[in-house]
Amino acid sequence: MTKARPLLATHAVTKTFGGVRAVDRCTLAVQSGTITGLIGPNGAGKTTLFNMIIGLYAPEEGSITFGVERIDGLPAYEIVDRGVVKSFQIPREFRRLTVLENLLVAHPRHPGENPIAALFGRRRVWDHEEMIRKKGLDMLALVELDPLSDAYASDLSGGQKKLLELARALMTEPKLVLLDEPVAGVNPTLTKKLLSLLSDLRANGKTFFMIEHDMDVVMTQCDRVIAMHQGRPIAEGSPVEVRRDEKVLEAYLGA
Amino acid sequence: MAELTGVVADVSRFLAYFAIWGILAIALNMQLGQAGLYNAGIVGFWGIGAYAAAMVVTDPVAAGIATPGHWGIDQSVFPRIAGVSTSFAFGVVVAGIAAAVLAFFIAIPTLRLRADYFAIATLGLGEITMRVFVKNLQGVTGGVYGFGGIPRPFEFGFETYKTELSYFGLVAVALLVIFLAVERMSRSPWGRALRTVREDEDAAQAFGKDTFFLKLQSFVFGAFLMGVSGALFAFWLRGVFPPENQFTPQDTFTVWVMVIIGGMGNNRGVLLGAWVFLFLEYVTVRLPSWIDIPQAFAIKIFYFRLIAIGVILILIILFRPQGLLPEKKHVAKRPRWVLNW
Amino acid sequence: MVLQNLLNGLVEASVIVMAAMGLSLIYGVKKFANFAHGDMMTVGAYFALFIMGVTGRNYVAGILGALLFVALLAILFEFLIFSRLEGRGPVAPLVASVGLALILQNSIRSVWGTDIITFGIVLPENWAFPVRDPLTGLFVTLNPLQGFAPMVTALVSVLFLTFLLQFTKLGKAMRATADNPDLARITGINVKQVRYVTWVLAGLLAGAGGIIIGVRLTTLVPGLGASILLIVFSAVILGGIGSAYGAMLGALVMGLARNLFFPVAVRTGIPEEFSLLIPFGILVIVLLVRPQGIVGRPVGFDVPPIRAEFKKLLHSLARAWRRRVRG
Repeated sequence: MTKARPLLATHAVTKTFGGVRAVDRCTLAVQSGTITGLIGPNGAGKTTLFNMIIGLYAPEEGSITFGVERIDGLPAYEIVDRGVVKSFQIPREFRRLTVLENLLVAHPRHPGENPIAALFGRRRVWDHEEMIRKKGLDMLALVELDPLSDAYASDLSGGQKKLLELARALMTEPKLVLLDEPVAGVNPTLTKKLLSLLSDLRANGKTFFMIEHDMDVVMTQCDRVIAMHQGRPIAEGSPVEVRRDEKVLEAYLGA
Repeated sequence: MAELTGVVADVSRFLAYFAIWGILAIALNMQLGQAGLYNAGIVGFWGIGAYAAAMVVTDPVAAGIATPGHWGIDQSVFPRIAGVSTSFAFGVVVAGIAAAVLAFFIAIPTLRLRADYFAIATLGLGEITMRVFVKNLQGVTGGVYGFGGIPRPFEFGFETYKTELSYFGLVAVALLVIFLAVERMSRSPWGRALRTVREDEDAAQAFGKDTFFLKLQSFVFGAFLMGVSGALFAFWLRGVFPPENQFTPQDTFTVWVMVIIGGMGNNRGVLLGAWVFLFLEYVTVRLPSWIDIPQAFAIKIFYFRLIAIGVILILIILFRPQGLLPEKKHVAKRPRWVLNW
Repeated sequence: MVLQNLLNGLVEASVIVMAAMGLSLIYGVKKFANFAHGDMMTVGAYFALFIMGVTGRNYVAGILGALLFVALLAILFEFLIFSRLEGRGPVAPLVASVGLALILQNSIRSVWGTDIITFGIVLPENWAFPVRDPLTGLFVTLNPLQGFAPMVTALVSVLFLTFLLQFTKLGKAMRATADNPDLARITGINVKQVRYVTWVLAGLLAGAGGIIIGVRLTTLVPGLGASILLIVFSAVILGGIGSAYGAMLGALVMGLARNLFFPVAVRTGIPEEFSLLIPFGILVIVLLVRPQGIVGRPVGFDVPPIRAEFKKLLHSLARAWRRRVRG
């Protein structure tokens, strides 16, 4: 079976923190239009890898490609511009902005986000603003947060903040979404709804790369799974294959 | 009658003074309240604005026996509208631009520093600007002597109350225009983006904001306003005098006090902060002449006021860090007039 | 060799180091830049004067009384203010210290007024060394009270602090707390106690520093300490904020640099006033190039190099331009 060019690929990326190689010559690929899971024991380097893909850290060695373009070393906002977004595992909402504002601010390429437009107010700016306002409210409805649209983001509960993280990520109109434990702390009903939302979005062409510890979610949602241990991938394949992989079992039991 | 005009002059002078500091507070609010930039070099921008404007509206003076002289512009090049020289308008604009340019150069190396380092760096740079350069460029700035003789836009000779009142009118208009403009900018998507930088810079970057550029914009624009305030201050004082007693770090921290006590992020709040600070000063300075107080005590009231301000600042930081008038929930509303281009 | 300037530089470094060590200790353990430090020094100087006034020129009582007073004040500050600001980041206590500086300086003004007050000591004669300074041709001199005493005090303090930090349990506890307070707490260190002790030490050093400045100037003004605060910050940041050794190093460099500038100025004709540029200039350069200072204590945030900042700026401008063109 010939593989199409992967949407995202890392080639031997390495990142060291204080003498410890968090990510160690990691090479992997994510295919377009899939929900790919990333599993592994704590400390395997999964979050660090995500932070490098999104541009918060630069890899010391190796490269990262998105589509045909190299994105390693680019500032985060450039990478988001190209269609990659990451949600934070521990939600980092903008606390003193309202829930809706948290979403609005994530929408890309707003013509109003410069001081000249702010002062002189071209009509284009405010038309765009109204458009994304509607979009934002729809997105909030999807995650059932719309009654709280005007509340300060800091007033949300933990689970609600995770929903906000997801909604905010989706607002950036991404092609690839890096999710870091997206449903941890969310109630089961809403979790089901979200996961079916992810499937719908995938059907529409979005790609998800998801760090997840909940094996049920991994088994039911993911098309492919990559297992990481000590900074590099140790197994790759369908969820069933990876779950049975000896190296993976060893890593989890030993870690 | 003479007493009344005296009072009018005095009050007008005070109100103009308040407006000048109000503009400073609004400018700092843009940098600090909105973008989270702890600018401790305010006097650098204020001072540059003052000196720049002073030079634009006065003729150059050559070095002489009692004075090192200073730069200026031959006033006859400025056209007059209805008898008023346009040099003042130019002076204000040049002042703003000078401060903005200074801010641009200061910003590039300092914006990457964390808040407290940024404060120390800007403090140092502000001091360098005023203490080292301005004070020592003898022929340019008048050196340690500074220079006086800065005219007002509207002069009424002996009728000081008219001069003061007219100047207050001018400055009040400036404050109003600036307040409306900055409020509008705060409620815009740009203001919203700035606030994300303040809240969590890494998260802002992770969701597509070019935080460096946003900080730069806020810093430079705020500095422009500080320069404008400096110009208005030079006209108010009718002189610029070197930074032994003027343009000291104390002035910077005064603006901090106004913004933090008044309400960070709220333009009305910072104006309230400015008012409280200056009104207290006005009252304590004039108190001995209003009521009978033992002489020794009269002088000390001045210092008690500052002690009280320090106490209030600490209490606010401890128990009400959002200030007297906290930042309101922003609603990005389409403003009433919008350019269609 | 410019011997007199070198000697003067060492004396000045001695003054700076007294303040710098305290400032560094507070930054290391309490994690903030104490803008009231200069005024704590001033309080020390004025209180010593006060004690000497009421005890009839008892120098010992004056010095000890001042040190005790400033140390007690430091404890009070921690108790009332700074202990409540733990965990709120570096800026909240910084702003509080600005308020504190206002309170301290104006309290002094309200008691003593703004007039200059003489310390009222009789200066002993300068010692002359049997060496001639090659630049001026004069004998190298040092005043026992204004020059030698500060150097001795500084040296003793430096040695004491070094010994404390390196070889005592308390010192190790302080270093551990500065490094990682949570870890320190888990290993059984009483972090609260460490904080108070740090304040006491900083207070003692500040008080002593203030007295030294007063002796050197022989006059007191309320702005005494505050006026050298920026120079002290420069020294601390140059050495490496949060490191007491860095402070010592930074103070040494700062004191020498300024004084060694004077002969350079004489030779090259740069006006002497530009000597002020040196401490501020060093501060700015350090912050631009290497904010962690010589010692290189981690500053708690990533510092991209300057070239990267220029690149960022060009990048952003280009992006904005492209957007406009695209329409």
